[in-house]
Amino acid sequence: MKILVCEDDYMVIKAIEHKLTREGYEVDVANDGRMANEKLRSKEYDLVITDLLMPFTGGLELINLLKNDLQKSTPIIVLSKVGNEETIIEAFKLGADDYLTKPFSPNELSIRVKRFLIKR
Amino acid sequence: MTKGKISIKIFLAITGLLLASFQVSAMDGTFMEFSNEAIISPMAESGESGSALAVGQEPVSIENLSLWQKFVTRYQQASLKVKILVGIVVYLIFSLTLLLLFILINRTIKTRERKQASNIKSIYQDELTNFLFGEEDQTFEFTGINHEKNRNIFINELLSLHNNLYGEAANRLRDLYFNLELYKDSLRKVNYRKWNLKAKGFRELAQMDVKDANRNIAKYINSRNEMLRMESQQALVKLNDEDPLGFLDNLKYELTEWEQVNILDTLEYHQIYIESFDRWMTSENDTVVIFATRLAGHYKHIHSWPQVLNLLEHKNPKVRQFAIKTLDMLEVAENAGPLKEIYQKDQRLEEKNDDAFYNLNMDRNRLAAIEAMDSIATPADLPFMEQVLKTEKDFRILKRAAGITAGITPGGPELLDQIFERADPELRKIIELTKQTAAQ
Amino acid sequence: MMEFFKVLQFIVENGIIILTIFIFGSYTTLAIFSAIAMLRYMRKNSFVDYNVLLSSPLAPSISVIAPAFNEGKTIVDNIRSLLSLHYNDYEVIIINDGSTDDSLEKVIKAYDLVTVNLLYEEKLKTKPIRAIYKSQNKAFSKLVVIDKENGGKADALNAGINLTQKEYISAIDVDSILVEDALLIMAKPFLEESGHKIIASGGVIRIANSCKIEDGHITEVRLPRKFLPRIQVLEYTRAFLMGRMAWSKLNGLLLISGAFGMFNRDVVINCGGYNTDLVGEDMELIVRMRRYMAERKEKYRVIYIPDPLCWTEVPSKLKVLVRQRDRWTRGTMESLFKHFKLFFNPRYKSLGLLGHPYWFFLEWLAPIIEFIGIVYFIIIAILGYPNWPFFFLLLATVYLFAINLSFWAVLFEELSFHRYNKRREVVKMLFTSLLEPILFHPVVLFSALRGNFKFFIGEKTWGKMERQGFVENDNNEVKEVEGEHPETLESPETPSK
Repeated sequence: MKILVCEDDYMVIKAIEHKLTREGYEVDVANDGRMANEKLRSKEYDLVITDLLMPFTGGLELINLLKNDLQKSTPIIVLSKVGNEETIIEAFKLGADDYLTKPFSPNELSIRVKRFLIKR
Repeated sequence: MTKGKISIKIFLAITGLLLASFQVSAMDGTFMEFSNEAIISPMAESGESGSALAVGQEPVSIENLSLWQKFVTRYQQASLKVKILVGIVVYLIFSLTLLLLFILINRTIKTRERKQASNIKSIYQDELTNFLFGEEDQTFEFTGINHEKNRNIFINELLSLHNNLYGEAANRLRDLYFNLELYKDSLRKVNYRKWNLKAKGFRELAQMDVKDANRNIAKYINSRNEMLRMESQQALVKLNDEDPLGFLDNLKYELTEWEQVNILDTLEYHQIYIESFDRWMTSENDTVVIFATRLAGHYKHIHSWPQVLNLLEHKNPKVRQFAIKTLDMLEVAENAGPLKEIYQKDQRLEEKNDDAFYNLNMDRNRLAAIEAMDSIATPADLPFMEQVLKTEKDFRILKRAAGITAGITPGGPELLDQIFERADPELRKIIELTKQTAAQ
Repeated sequence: MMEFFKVLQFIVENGIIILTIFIFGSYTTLAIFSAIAMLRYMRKNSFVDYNVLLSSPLAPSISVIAPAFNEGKTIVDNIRSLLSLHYNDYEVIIINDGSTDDSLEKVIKAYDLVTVNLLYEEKLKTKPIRAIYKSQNKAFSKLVVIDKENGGKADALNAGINLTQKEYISAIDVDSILVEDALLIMAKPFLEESGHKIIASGGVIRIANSCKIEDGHITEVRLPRKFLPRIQVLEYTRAFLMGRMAWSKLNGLLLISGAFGMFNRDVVINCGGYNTDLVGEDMELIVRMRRYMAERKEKYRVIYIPDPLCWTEVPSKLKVLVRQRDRWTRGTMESLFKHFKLFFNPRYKSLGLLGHPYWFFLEWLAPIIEFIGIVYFIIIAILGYPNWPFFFLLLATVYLFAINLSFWAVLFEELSFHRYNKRREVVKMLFTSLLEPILFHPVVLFSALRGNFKFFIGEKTWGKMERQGFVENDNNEVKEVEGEHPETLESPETPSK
């Protein structure tokens, strides 16, 4: 199972990467919006975890890209510090499947990931 | 930054020395006639190549002396002006060389330091994530942790990671912080003289929830240094479980918007619950009152409504403005009466006063009052709306009032039509556009 | 007769020397103040998390206003870059100032714009508005485009100011590249005010020539390859890091770059907005805003933010540079003379006692005095026997001092933001500074004189500025593209001899 993590905070990436790799998933990483853009267009993933604030393209645009432009059904989990009502609603409207705010619990993240991937 | 300061000190010292030495040598130089230092050399009979020296001096057999001695002789015979300039030139050349060296050396040192720091940083990042998600029951050794510099980097990484997590992972990190006795480093920082180190200490202690530090940090609430004030506020909000905003009672300085933003952010991020903000609405410190009011609105504390209502009578127009805005956020139907009242009051105040700035505040208050009517306006308010539309001069307020009136049913649109008849062109435009928008 | 000449000679020569020392002293003092202010700023912001403003309901609202004239080649990208700034409550207002190219069509197409009917009070008089556009696409909801008749940059800005209802306005050049966090960083000082009202803040302008630009973001900072822009890097560094920081601390800041500044909307409107008759409208607005506050005895500040937030292109062709500096000189003179009342007027505190006189003497008068000095020397050289050694001594002093300032500037940059990473580039900068007084300064001097001349004969044009855009070629470098477009006004303080 391949997961793409789009996040610019190095520590967060490391934490998620470690946790998910231990659970047996294959984790690919994008450090900024542009990289994420390229990867989404060129590869297939079973799940995408993305932050909203990244250099170049923001998370909301990525969701739009994946769900509306590329028309893929890959589940998207948003993991962001931004927690205000509008942004959350906007994310779901654009097609996000789940929204976690930071600070997050790696255990919780892992369970949610599992939930999405079991369905596949 | 220390290096910068040192270099400034060195320069000042050197300048001082040079100036001193010039004083000494200049004292025995003779102050020659001004024409000798003029750019025009004296229309001398001597066909000698330009001499910077005084006319009337014994022509020393210059050719017999060495170049250096020539130079020295000329210098000694020159005027004060020349000596000063020469001195400056020497100083400048000296300073240039030093600067060049300093820039290059500084760069080399800094690059090396940065590289080292970034190396150890990556190592710690790996080790920390291994610690959290690696094999259980592994004993962990963290490289080079006995060196203070490394420890600081380690603390940074640990805190940075901890900041993003909660739950089991966060707790384990916290335990690690205590087990490795890193809290001692943080406590030590609080006692340093440099404020940015102190502040760093506050942050670390706050994030790791070191309750004992509470008293220590609270001393800085009214520090003259605004950075320390803010950092201590931030820390106390987090550390003080029983009364996170207690420090607001004793705050002698203005609570800036930046500080307010940060405190609110901390409250939200750590989900700190505060039952009521009423207690600070009667503070002597107006900015504290404003903050309390804003918070009451943000958290929709309906029970604070009576207190906020009182604030409509506050002498500071800014306080009144925020009170109005909070009423708006609380959306209580009974707001209407008080809002209308304050609208009229502020309108009267403006008529008496000529100052643009003062009126700006009053305008804003009236605008806020009208805006606050939006969600609660009923047909009973139509007479008031009529009065506003007829007497108000501010464009924005009129626009808003028209919009609200259009939304009142029954009676709103009809009232607008009625007013339209007698309205001046500006108002007509507003009413027209309002009806257009309403129709969409 | 002889007596007369001797007296004249005495006055001129000693005058020049005294003036020179005075100038040296001023620059040194400014440098010292700047150092102190920089230190404080760096320490203060070393661990600020600007992101708290991103999700805070208390964050102020900002309107980014950018006039555009015939920017067809790059306008779509520029807007895109502006729409991706990290900030919550902001809007981007682009004013199409009667462009004669296809700018408007391109933008309408790219952003899915339709005309809207907005009603607002036009508090400032501007040339007529033809239409207002907004996007049908939710992703571009922050964009507003105003199409109006041509009226010049000031007029376009005023149109934008009329429209916006946000608290703060950020006037920028549409082709400037803003760093993503620019609005966050600029907003913070406004929130920290206590006691003094901050009415305006200026940012540093960094030179984008030769930098690597991708997708409207600077991905790699490089020292400009061409000589002329490289020298301007030094010039701007000196002016911004060693000059304006000091003025900000002394509260005597007279100029905020047209390329990037943030203002309190209410104060701007109460002052009457930008003056459309002038060539140097950005400086004049600040002076007027300050007068407004001072005359009302309100406590206020105009501050300065040294972070590299705005990157823009500077002239790399001599002709264009001369035209630019010529215009700056005229702009300076406009502001200085229009507000001559401030000169040494204690009623205006640091503005009147320090700011205005400084600009008067060291920015305006200095080139003129230098010119007089040169003419004088030439006359002497022809008529009499010049005292070469003394002359060279004087020259050496001035030259060394100028280079010294540049070296200090490089040091400042090294110790603060150090955006130039390669050691090679730093050495190159130091080396370039050796050439500056010889090659560059005469050009600046000439432009200043020409500006003075034009001012006194009453010429008021902008002149045609060649447009060089941020069109990215395959290597993603800034390529130079021809075109016509009025440029912005910034006026770094240049040390004169």
